[in-house]
Amino acid sequence: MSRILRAEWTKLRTVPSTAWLVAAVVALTVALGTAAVASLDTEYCPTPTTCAEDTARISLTGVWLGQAAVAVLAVLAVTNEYASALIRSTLAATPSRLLVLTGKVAVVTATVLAAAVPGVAGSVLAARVILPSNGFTAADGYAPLSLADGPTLRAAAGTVLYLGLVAVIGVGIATIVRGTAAALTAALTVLYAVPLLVRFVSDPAWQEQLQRWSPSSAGLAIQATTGLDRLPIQPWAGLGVLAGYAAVTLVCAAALFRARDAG
Amino acid sequence: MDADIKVRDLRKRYGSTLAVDGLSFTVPPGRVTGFVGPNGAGKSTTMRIVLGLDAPDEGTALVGGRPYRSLRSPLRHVGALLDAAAVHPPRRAADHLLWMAQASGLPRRRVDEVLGMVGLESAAHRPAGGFSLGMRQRLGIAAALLGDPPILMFDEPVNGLDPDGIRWIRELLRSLAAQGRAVLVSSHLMGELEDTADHLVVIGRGRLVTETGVGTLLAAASGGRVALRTSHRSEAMTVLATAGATVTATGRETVTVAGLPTERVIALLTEHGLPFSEVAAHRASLEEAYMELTRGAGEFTAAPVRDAS
Amino acid sequence: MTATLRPARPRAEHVAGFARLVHAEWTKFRSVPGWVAGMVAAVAVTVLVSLLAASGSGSDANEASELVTGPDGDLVSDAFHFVHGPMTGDGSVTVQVTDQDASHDGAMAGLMIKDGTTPGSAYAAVMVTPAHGVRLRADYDTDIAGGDGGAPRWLRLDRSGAEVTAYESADGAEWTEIGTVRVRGLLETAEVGAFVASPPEMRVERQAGSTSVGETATIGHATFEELAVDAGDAADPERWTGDDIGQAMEGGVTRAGGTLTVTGSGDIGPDPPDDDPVQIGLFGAVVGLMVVVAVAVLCATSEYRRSLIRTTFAVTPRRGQVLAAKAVVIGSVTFVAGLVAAVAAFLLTRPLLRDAGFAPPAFPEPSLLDGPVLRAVVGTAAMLAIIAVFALAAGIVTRHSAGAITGVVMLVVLPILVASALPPGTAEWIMRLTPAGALAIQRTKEPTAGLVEPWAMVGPWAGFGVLCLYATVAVVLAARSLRGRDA
Repeated sequence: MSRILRAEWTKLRTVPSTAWLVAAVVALTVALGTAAVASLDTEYCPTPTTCAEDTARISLTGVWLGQAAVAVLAVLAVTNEYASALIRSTLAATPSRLLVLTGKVAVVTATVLAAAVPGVAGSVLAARVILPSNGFTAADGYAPLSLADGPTLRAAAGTVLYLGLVAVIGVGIATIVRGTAAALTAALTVLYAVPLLVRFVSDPAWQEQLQRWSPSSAGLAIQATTGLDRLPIQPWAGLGVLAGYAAVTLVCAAALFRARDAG
Repeated sequence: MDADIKVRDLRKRYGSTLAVDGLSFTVPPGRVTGFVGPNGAGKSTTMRIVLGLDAPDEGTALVGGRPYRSLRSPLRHVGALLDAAAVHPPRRAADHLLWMAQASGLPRRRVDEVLGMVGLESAAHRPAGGFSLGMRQRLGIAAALLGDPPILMFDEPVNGLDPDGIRWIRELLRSLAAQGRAVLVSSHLMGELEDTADHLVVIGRGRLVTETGVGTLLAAASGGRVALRTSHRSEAMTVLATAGATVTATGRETVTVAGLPTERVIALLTEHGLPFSEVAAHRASLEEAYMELTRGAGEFTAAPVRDAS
Repeated sequence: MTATLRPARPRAEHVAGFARLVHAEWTKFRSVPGWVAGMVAAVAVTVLVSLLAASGSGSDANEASELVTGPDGDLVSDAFHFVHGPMTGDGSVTVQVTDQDASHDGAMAGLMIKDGTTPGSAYAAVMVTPAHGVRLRADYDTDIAGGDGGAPRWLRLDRSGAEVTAYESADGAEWTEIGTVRVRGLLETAEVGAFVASPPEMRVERQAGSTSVGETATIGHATFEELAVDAGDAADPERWTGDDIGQAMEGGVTRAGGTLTVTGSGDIGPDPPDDDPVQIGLFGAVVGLMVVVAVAVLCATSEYRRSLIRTTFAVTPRRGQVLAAKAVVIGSVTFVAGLVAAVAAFLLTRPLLRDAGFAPPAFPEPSLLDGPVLRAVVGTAAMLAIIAVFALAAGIVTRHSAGAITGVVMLVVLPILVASALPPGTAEWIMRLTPAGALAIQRTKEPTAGLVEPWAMVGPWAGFGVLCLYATVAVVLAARSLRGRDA
């Protein structure tokens, strides 16, 4: 297994786009999170007790952009091999397809997690610095954003895990679909179109069910630090739903990968 | 319009690589001109510049006296095969030619005609992605012939063809030249051109090594050498070397002798009682002539053709 | 290289040459089964997601306890405090509004002539407002501006048959005509008098990452003097009585000598629900556009991946024209596919939406031939076409499928998700600066902050214009990169 991991890691890091995409995960997550926090003021948060803003969650808004880079990284890690017929050499070197898929998922996910940690930490740090200058001052009773705070730590760590699961889903979809454009469009539809539909369906019963069972809406429940009683699904349960989707995608991918001829 | 290609003082740099360095040559009508040089010598770059795809840093490349980019319907003037893999795999062969015909204002029947010329009628409605390399070469040649142009350029057209295909393309190239067209064929293997080209443009490292007729080149390369077959190889080599010849073993029983005329070689061997089964004036292959030329080019000195006579 | 002067090509030949190129690019497009299938998929996805969105939507606007409809049958708001008496036949009524509270920018105090006191009945009114100057309004849809400035001011309404003319004056001596309106079916005997209204204030509520909009009632006060009626047959203003009309609350009138102090709340005007069933029925385009983006990007990048671009430029050295022909083909194909999808989605979602409560009177039955509906349906197709051209250009600039697809989808879709999690002011700016605002073309109603859809805050053409701007910049960059780079 360690041989496969080393081989997969060598393949991943020697594609020039990987370094760019890892940098993009970090930079985009921090940039969008910072912009969102910078646009925030205390208009809807007059006092710490009557505050309508979930500052921890808003500081992690950047995950919406970072996950796109994660999806591209994960999809390309698989489809590049098919595009260049490298997959035949890979399978010639390691005939066990399950091992190959496991190695790829492990390496891509580990890379994404390693990129997500600075991205998320940077976002929280940026928010901690910016928020006081937007009126969320300690003098007025607003506690500074801190990872020592339980819910904030859960939101931040959960966001890292969320990005890891997005990577798993990306590798799974790409293994099933094999073409870059089709796989990427499928992944982006799951990550963006479904949440759009969820948000704009106006029937409350429909909306609650969709929020509970759609991958990214449920998964991002992990970011909530206030108003937990109003959430359609609790944070860890939501991340669990996403993990379930990741597992199903991976099982389908493994079954198809074993059954099909190598492109 | 004259049907020729004129390249003058062409220079092209990609980053730190000087791909073409002051190259000049002419491809006249009615002949097959071979364009040879090792991989990376600048052949494809030159062809791309001729087709207006890449812009030269210096110099000009004219087809029929005009820059390619000024042609209104280029396929009627110049046909080119650059890269046989340049097809979109799901597109059917006939459609691949049809869009080119439409963009050039050529009638639809030309598509069927050129497919017939290259022997791809039966595959016309199959996706080009499923073609073998040989079939793709034929499709690329069909595209070059689409506009019935007086000037043709083929980049490594023999790649991937089977022996039948190689014979077919040689005949095609000769017949195109016989119709009065200017034909430029590149190759990194000189042997491929031996029976095809009339004229050669040899380049190395972006520079012209020589521009010459095939016959002249072969005569120069064979220059005065003698091929000898004997069962007493080492003794023969000693005797001949002592007499002042340069002797090279080319096989277990064969040697090449330079510096002594055939009669003298026979006399020396007879004198020393060495048996031999064959003595003949050496006829160089184009491959050998080319190796000799590009050896110089490899050292980055444009070697002149040595006149050994 | 010597510069050669070429004779200018005749225009007709130029056009014919371009038409040939478009034909060639169309052949390229239709001969790749995957792209054709992609466009069909985009249509299917658009229709299916629209049906899904329609099934998951509902409105209770028709179940409101007191549904008020105006003379045209449209939903209106008609609530105010009215101090009135009957007037038969022609005549005029005059008053001086001496003071008005600035309870709301659009608070009203003035004179009205109305077909009885039933909410939704026909009327004409002249009024002062704290921020919108003097206005003459009638039948919920007519609004004529008078002079700037508010109280104190003299106002007069003059009835002649069905026509009512309004005047204003600073001193009660010199009068300026504001305009004349025709009040539909005004009875011989109508109610005339002084009125006060003050519309509710929009109130934005945020809860942990989501925004909702509610209303808070405001109460207006105004004082009137010199109330006078000049008519053959009218009640004495001294004996006029005060009534809350419609859902107005806490209204009242006190008299002190010749001075009336009137208190009132409510709004008079059109009051359609913000929800837009036409837009809900076209929602699938948001998902369909992702498929369109993928196909359009591939049209560009597949040529680079196979070096086919060299063949293309060897066949046609005029690279700018190749780009234009590609844009025309992908834009037209997407427009036609988008139009099919939009019309199908509109027609197929109608019955679902009607059953879900989007029915008259709150939601008049939309017709494809109504201006705003036609704009939404054709605009959806046009939006998809422009996005396709944008994606094509992005593909040419980046030469990278994954990068171009992700980039375009992020620019169009991501702002919607981010904006809907941020406060309304920020959200509106995001909609004004990104192509996401183009989705506003799908709305048939006025911009509003009262919906979850952030694009509802901008007008239909503002957002579409931004998208066109992005596409134009991308096309210019693509043209420059084609001209400058070696193929």
